Amino acid sequence: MVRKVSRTVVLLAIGLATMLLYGPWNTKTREGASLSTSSPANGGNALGLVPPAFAQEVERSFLEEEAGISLYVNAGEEIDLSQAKALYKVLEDETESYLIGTVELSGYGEEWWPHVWIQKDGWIVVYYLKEEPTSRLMDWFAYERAGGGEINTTTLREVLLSVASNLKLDLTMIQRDMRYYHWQYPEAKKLLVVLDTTDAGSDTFKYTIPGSLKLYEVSGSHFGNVGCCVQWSQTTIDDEVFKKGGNEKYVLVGFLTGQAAAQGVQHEVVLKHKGGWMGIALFFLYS
Amino acid sequence: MRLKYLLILGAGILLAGILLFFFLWPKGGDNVQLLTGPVQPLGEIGIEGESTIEWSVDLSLEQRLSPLARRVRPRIMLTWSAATASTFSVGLHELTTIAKEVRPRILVAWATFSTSVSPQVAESELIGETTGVDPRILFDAAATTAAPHLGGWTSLGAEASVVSPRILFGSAALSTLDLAFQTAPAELETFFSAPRVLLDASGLGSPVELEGPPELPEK
Repeated sequence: MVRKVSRTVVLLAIGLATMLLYGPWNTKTREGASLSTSSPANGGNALGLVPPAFAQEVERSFLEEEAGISLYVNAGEEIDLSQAKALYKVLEDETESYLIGTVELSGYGEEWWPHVWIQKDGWIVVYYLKEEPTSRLMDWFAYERAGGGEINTTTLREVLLSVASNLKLDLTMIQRDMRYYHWQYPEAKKLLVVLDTTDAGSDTFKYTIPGSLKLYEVSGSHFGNVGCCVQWSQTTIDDEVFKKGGNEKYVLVGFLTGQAAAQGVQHEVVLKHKGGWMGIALFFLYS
Repeated sequence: MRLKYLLILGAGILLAGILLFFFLWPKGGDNVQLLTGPVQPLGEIGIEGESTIEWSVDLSLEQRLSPLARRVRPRIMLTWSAATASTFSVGLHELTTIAKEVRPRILVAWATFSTSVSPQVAESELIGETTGVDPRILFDAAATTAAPHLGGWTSLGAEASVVSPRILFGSAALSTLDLAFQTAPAELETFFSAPRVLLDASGLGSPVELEGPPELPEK
């Protein structure tokens, strides 16, 4: 009897060994690449992600070469390029199938005007160049017009909707389907914006970026609307001046580097101003 | 007898474990995940503050987009949007007149005035050619500040931050109508001024397309 049981155990062991040999540890993908086992970075998910097929090709697209943060949509209908052409402030290139150039962001100087690529078959990509911080997204003027509160729009969204509106596209669909993407950080999956404002002379908040996050970029957008003459506003992070502005109304953007982007430690942001009001918006790009 | 039951029990647990393991193991294949959808609440980055507002969004790429983007032909990219309007008015009178007719996309005319270096006079041949071709970019004697900076994409930003020229061309002369570009005077290289127009031609995979001067470096 014991011998029979032993045989059963041996058979089970052989079966187990076979399964281990041909089991999921050596899974082949459709592309023929071998997948690795899970890593903590995948949050326990067993899949080791590999770049999609198009990203493995040698040739890079112009967006991968030059674009940073972007907002794109497929309008779901053909776009009349001759009509779209009139929307450009500067047209950098024009073919039968697409247009590229810069489109004005109403109320802002030209350094704020994003590039817009419009494809005849319905694609619209609005983007800032890769040298620009993601915090260029913060539309303080729209925020101010809305009377503060929640963030309801971004600079790229305003331009996309303006283009779509002028082209008489379905705005409901555009707003539903539009997506953000950063062309220099294809693995970045999340964008978090933390905003604080004050008209009381000073305010403060703290942030902590866990060490477990894969952090790609931290940038900030400082806004001041402090009035005339001897007024000012300033944002400091961990006692270092991030941005400081003088009179009137302005938006100052930049990257947070060094200590201000250090993970696993708490950072303190201090807002101070004289006159009017000010705000700071921090943009965290991570996965 | 006890040994038999123990062995059977052990084998059963082992088998159940293996089956469970295989059922729960994530399937391979669709390894590319497209993250889309509405804004999700985030708790990963800790925020402490009474009046802060948080907003977050998922980033994702529609895969049909990249192949389309690779079909975009090389072009000159304007890192800073063209200062068309501000330079338009100070251009040579004839050139301004012509420009009004042909509506060039970008007109940089006499832009080096700000550097107190006298620019070249616009060439009459250039004006003649401009009338017919409706150029995308027209440089008229404006390149004197930046001809040395032909390093292309990677070095462009660094050079611009050091030199701060009024106009910076990074291999961008490829687009012009064979204008001769002068070397920048040495004193200009330390001239402090924010770039008004910053051009880079790094995306130009095929300079031949724009028929650049032969001395320009090939990418």
